[in-house]
Amino acid sequence: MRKLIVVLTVVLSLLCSTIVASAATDPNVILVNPKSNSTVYSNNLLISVKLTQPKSIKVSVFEEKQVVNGTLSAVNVNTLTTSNGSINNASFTSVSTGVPALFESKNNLSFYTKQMSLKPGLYRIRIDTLDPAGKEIFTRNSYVVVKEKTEEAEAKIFETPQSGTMQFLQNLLKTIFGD
Amino acid sequence: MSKPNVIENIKNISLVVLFLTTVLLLYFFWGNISFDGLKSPSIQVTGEVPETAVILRPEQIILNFGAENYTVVPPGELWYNNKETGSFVEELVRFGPAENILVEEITYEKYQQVKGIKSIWASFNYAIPISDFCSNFGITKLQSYDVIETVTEIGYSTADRGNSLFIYDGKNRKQYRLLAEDPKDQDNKGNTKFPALIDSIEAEGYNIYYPISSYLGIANDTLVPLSVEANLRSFPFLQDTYSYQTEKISVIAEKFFGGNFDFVRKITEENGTVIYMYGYGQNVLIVNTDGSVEYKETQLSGNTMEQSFSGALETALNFIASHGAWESFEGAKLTPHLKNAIPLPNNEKGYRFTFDIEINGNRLYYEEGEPVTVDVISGQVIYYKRHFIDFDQEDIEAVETYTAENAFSAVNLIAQNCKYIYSLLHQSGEVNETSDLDVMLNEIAALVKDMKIGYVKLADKEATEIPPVWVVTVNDTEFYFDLYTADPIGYSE
Repeated sequence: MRKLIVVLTVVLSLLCSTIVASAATDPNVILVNPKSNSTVYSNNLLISVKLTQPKSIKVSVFEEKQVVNGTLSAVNVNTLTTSNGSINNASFTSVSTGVPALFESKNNLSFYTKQMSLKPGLYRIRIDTLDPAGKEIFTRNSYVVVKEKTEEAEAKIFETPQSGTMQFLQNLLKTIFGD
Repeated sequence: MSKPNVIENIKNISLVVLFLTTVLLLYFFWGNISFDGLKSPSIQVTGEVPETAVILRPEQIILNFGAENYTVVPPGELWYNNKETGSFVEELVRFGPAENILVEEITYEKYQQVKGIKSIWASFNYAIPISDFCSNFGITKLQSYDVIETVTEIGYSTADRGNSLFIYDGKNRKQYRLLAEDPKDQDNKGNTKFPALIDSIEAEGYNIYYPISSYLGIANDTLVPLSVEANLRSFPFLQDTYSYQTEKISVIAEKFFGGNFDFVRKITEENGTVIYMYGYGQNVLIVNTDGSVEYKETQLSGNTMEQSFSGALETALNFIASHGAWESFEGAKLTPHLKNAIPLPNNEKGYRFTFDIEINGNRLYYEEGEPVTVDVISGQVIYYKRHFIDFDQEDIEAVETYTAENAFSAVNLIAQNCKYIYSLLHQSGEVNETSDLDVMLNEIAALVKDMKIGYVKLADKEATEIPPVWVVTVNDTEFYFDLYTADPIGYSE
């Protein structure tokens, strides 16, 4: 009986422990933008976090770097490997991009929004839910890949690709009659 | 001559005179002709008539710098300036060469694709006939343009070789591409400097906008600013007229009736409304207790003159200039722009023009009614209503000196007022009942059409101040919220 009570006490303390809670995510704090594991083709990133209860959160952005030839460098996002839709981050070192932002909501619905200018690389957005004492009780991590803004000047929307025969005929006509 | 003969002659002459007078009076009454017809038909324009090219202004200019980087700017000098440097209109005029412009209709999907890359767009709230659009802005109108009926939106995109303009015809819901192809110049960008104009605005810095979908995760590409700084503050105002200002009202009435004022009947209703009527109601002027003035004129019979959009607009502007112009009756200056132009129904050859006004570069919204409404049929103004406010220019100048501060977050304004907005939409039957806040947010987010800042004149007759506001357009309803606290102030359907 005594052993049973001890076992139940340990199990209950584990279930109610904040250690367990800190590994879980807060269902009332949702990262709306950017979507987790997405790629953004812009150096301007909008972070939008939705809170569906009065809460305090802390938002931190880290650049994931890797050691290349003994120095920390930005991750080569073109060679990033993923497995099952998540990024393999085993060899990365997190470098903070700035001071974490604190946001307190007193409503049942509010948004934290921030725009950041980022260089190409792999970034991790960490959102911590804080208790009234400022202690982190929930944590959510999401990755986003930032790539260079692609050159769109040559975006082909109206030109339809031509078959080899058509291209030959077009070139022949141009040769005969000029442009 | 004997006395009886003299008397007979006098009687005969009197009968002839009476007969001719009767014929003349019957001619006027049966012919429904106003005594104004005896006078010179031209209107004596007493106030300044604004340039049509300045009045015809898009609602906004949207710039897409590429890769989801947007900004929205008020048209102002970026749209049109008479210095002819760095304006949208200047680049439209420059587009060409004229002999090589082809016009083709394109699909809605292609139109949206070209808007999704680096581009610049000017959007109007109304459809302008293409010929009037070209003539008002000095653009050469080619015969190939005849396939396009109206212009509601016009833009330039860097799609393909960046040598095209794009037009949306709002009346017929069609999209067009104007392709300037110069076979001798493979690098031709249609002779325009739109790419350089876009780059210069990007380099100067801009207020960043994102689509609602990015903030709220709901499909809606309406652009909303991330943050706004403004120095707008409430300022006091007065009505343009008050019922007790009998002399002032009389002077105003005289502007409308001119020399016929002595033949006008004046009726003062119990509620204080003053009505001036000429003849059997051919010309009626109503001075309302809210300070607005309405003028109605019976359409002249047999008047079936065809008038173009520009001609009708010019008629409206000339009439306004000679009946109060663009200032309060005490002289407070207002800046007008055409808000809407709707062809009149039932095959009447005319338009209803509504105008909005700005005070020191900030638009003044109206919770009820419009600042100016004019109906023009066949070159005649048959209805005119103006509802201006009076204010002290020094109060406005004082506001200009205040330091700019952050307005309430646009996104959190929607979140904070979700239930309020939803309840009003539910009252008007636009949404179903629900108590789920998430469902309310999703529905509202999908329906938001616009978010802007400005001032609002509330419908409350006891109001004495003009507050600065966020204006959120959801479906066809404009909601007004305090610019800095997001507290709801009113709405207009």
